[in-house]
Amino acid sequence: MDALLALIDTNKIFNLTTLGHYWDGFVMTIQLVASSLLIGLIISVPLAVMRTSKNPFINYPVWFFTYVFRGTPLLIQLYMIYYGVTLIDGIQESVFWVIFERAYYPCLIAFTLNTAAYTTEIFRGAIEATPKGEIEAAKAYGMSWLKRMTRIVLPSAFRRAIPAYSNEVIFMLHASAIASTVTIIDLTGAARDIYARYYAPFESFLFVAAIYLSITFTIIFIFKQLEKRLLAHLQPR
Amino acid sequence: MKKTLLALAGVLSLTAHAEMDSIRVAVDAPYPPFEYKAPDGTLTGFEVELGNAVCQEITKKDCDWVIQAWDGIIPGLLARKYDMIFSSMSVNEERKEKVLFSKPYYQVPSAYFAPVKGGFDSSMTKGKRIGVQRATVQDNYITEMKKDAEVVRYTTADDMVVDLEGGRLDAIFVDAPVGEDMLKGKAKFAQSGEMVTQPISIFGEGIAAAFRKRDKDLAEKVTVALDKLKANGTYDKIMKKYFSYSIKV
Repeated sequence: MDALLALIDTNKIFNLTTLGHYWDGFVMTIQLVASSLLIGLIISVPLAVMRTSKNPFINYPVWFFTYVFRGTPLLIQLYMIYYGVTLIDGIQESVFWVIFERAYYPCLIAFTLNTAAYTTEIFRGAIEATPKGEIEAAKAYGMSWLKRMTRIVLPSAFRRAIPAYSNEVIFMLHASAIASTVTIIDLTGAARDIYARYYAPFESFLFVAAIYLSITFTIIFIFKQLEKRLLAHLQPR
Repeated sequence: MKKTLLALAGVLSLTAHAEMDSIRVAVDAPYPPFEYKAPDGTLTGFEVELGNAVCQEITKKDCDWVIQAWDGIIPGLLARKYDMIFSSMSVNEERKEKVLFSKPYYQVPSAYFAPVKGGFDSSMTKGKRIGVQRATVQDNYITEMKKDAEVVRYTTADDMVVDLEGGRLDAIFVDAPVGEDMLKGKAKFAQSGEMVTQPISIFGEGIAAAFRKRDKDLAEKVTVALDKLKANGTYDKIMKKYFSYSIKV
């Protein structure tokens, strides 16, 4: 601990102020990514169910949504939402301006919609991969559509989706770096500030890369544990 | 034989001197009126014209201009992508650790620009959102002197103006002529309050050209050339094209 404090004392870039700045950035990144993933997950479940519907009026709107949000770069989506809203006449005077004045909510909206689109498609695949036999058995028991969905299809689909979803979580973490382009001080934003202040690109970005790596490994670890528990029946014995 | 060789060497070194390579100079454009693209695509502005005059003095050629984003401008110099920065860079202690400066060639005041209707007052900044360009002296000033304000840092001045127009900022704090130029023709925005040049601990001695520390020779040549241009009226002529007030130091 003393050695660490001595190190902080002697180097110019990583003093308590900049470490505090990195910490704020870390909190912002975690907050942004966690909230957008959570909201995106909640939205994506009904969307995925709709997406598997045979009725085109239910299926196609969702298809269109996922097509647009998966087919365009997240950066463009963020710009459209962040800069786009200011062009709406009178938005600055309306009640919605509370949401759009700061960069945080436009960014959260962009991230949420983006991850919702990807997660919807992940779940759709998992739902469609439900073994026919399970559905037939459920039907034979006289289960209604709703009961079949909540008891048979969705629980097993969620389990099957875990490995693919863990990728989405990690991609989202990495994609969150673009929040710094609209003045949000997330981890990357903090690194940019410190880089610009001390003209030390290597140190500031290397440090932030190490933090991203640690978060990624934590996420991987959590999902490994989840898979061990929830996909135990698929593990080789 | 020896003599001819010597003579040849002399001629070669002479021509080598006369045929000196043009100096590669970095600017962060657009940063009007100091450096920006004219409608026909050519780079122009106060610093571009002055820089070319300096290069003409030294090499008899215009500078070889390199456009480089501000936040990478010093790393680019150190990486030898160009030999000189001529891009409104204020002299300060932190930069002196990395680069060598010429004698300052101008000093501009900074100023707040705000919506006319917003009633922004620079003496009451509590909770106000003030936009600055990241790692500029204006950034340092707001960060250190206006601790009660919320600093919003931008990579480019353009993004900052877009957010000011979008109603996301209460004011921006920039070099006065830059602000004037960016908000020209936008009646909703105006300069707010007095221009700011103090304290020197933040705003520094002025704007100077920057070089790698080992290029002492080039820095000296540029300082001499600038002195000459200031004395023979070329500097004033270029300045009057762009400014209604004096920025000469």
